[in-house]
Amino acid sequence: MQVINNTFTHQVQGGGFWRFLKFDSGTSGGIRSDGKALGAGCGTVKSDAFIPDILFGIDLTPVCMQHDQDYSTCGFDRELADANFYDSILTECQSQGGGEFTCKVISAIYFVSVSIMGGDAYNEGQLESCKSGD
Amino acid sequence: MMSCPNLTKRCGLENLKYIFGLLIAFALPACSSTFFVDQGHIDDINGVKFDIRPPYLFVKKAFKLRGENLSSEQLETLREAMPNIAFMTHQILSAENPKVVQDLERLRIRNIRQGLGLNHNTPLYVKTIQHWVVSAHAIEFTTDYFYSEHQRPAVTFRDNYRFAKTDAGWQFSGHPMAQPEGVLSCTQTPAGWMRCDK
Repeated sequence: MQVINNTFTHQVQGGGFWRFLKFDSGTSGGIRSDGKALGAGCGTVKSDAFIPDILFGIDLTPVCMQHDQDYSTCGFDRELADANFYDSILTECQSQGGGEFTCKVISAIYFVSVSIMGGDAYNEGQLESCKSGD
Repeated sequence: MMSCPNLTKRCGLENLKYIFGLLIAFALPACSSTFFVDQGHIDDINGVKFDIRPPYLFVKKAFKLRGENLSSEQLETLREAMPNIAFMTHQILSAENPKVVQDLERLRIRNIRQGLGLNHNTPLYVKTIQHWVVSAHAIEFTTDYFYSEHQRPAVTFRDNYRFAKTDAGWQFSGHPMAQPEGVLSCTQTPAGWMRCDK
């Protein structure tokens, strides 16, 4: 009898339906599994454990880091940062094999959330970066 | 951390945690926006306290310090050098500014933006600072950057750096390798993470 492990299943199926069951905040036991400090990737030090870095099997870590850096660059326009965020998620999602509908859903979820809740984060990022003379 | 390729009760409960987390996060925008403001924190690694706070918070969050087999003494050395490494990284990212370009040239730090031929509208981002080689007087490491042009998938690029301890503190002292490692190839692990390497 052949024993089929999860890795083998993914190699055969290429993720497929199971992608919908992949959520991961990138944290475990209060630390990040990639060896970085809490708040790297998606979410902040307070929300890192609740905001998925992987949603529906799509790794959003670099896109979240990009958005974080845009907010923290003195003079970077907030609407442009959020629009880039939406476009980048869409592009990365498609390059990782996500379907069109899935990618639009993921982009919309993150775009709406930063549009509604990102105001204070943007103001704080701008304050700190402009203060440090960027 | 979890990813769920198989349907189990535990897996379902773990997924529910994220679904409810997202629902709560998106349903309470008015009172929870400060929850999404990162003012930084002190990160305790083997008893060494790293100040993961502004300035250059997003650069400090890119430091990969766990899982690198670093002793407490080496971590302490990195803690001392972190502000200067973060500053230099920020300078490299900001090299669309002519004054910063001059500073990089003066210090003989490779200008990644120039090397890649990025135009001034294309932002360069930092992803991971890692592969530490630490002694009492010198630190070597690599930095992974990424950029994206014309709505194409991101390109990840790696360069290497050496810092030396001087009377003025930790300063850039050269590139350990004559050339950057260059563009990395990225693959997705079964768990869904994108991993980029040479």
